[in-house]
Amino acid sequence: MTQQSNAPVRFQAAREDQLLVQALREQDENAFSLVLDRHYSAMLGLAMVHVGSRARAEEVVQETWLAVLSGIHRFEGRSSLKTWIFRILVNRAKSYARRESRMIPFSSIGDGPKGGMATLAENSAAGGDGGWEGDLQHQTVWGSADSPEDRLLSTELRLHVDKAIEQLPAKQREVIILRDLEGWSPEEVCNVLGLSETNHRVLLHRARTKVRATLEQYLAEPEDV
Amino acid sequence: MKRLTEYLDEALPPGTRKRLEQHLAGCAGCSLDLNEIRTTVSRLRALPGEKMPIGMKENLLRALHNRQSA
Repeated sequence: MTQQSNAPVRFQAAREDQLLVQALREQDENAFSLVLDRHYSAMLGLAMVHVGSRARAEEVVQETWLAVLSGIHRFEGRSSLKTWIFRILVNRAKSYARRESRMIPFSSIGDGPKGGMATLAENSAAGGDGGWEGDLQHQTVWGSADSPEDRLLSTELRLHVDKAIEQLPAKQREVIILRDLEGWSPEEVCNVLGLSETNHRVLLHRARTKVRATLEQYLAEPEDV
Repeated sequence: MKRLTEYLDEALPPGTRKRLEQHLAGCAGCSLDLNEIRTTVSRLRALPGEKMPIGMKENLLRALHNRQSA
C-alpha cells in the first residue's frame, strides 16, 4: 500500500486518537472501558512473552493501565495512543522480567503447572488458581464462538497455536502475536517493537513458517473416535 | 518465501510485484506456499481473543473514579 493511499486512514486514526485522549483526560468511563477491551488480548499476549505466566502478565497489564491513567495528561501525540500504551507495556514487562529474574530462586522455576512458560490457553484452561473453579471465578472466556462445540474447537486450536508460538524466540513471538493474532499493521508493530520493516518481516516469515507447520500437523491428525 | 510475506503486505515495488505474480502464475509450489500462508494467517486471525477479567476491569474503573475524586 502506498503512503498516499494510507493518508485518509492515518487522518482518521489521528482524529480518533484525539477524541480518545480527550475522553480519557476527562475520565470518561465509557471511553476507558472501550480501550481496555480493545487492547486487552494483545497486551496480555505481549506481556506473556516477557514474563512467562498469565498471572504476572495480568499484573503487568494492570500496572500499565494505571500508568496510562497517571500519564495521559502528559501524552503529546508524537506517536499514536496505541503505540504509546504498548511501549509502556513493553517497558514494564521487561522491567518486571528483569526484577523477577533477580528475585525468583532457581529451584522454584518449573514447579507445578504454573511454573515456566505456560501458554495463554493453558493458563486459561487452568484458571488463575489452577482449576476450572478459578477459571469461572476469573471470568476468563474465549471470545464469542457460535456454539459450545465451536468454542471447544477454537480453544483447542488456540492451545496448539499458543504452544507453537511458545517455542519461538521472543522477537518472533512478539511479531506473530501482534501481526497475525491481533491483526496489527506492519507500521504499528515496528513502532511498538522498535524494528525496521525488513527485520520485522524476516521475523514474521520465520514465525509463520514454524506455526504453519504445527497447525498443518494438528489439522491433519485424525479425530479420536 | 520471504518475498511472499512482503507480497502479502503489499510492500513490494510495483515491478517486483508484477514479476512475482508472473512467477506465481507458472509455479505451483510457490502458489501453494502463498495459499498456505494466507490460510495460516486467516486461521490465526479468526481465533478468539482474550477478554479482560471482570475483576481487573472493576479495579481499573475504580482507579479511574478515584482519580476523579482525588
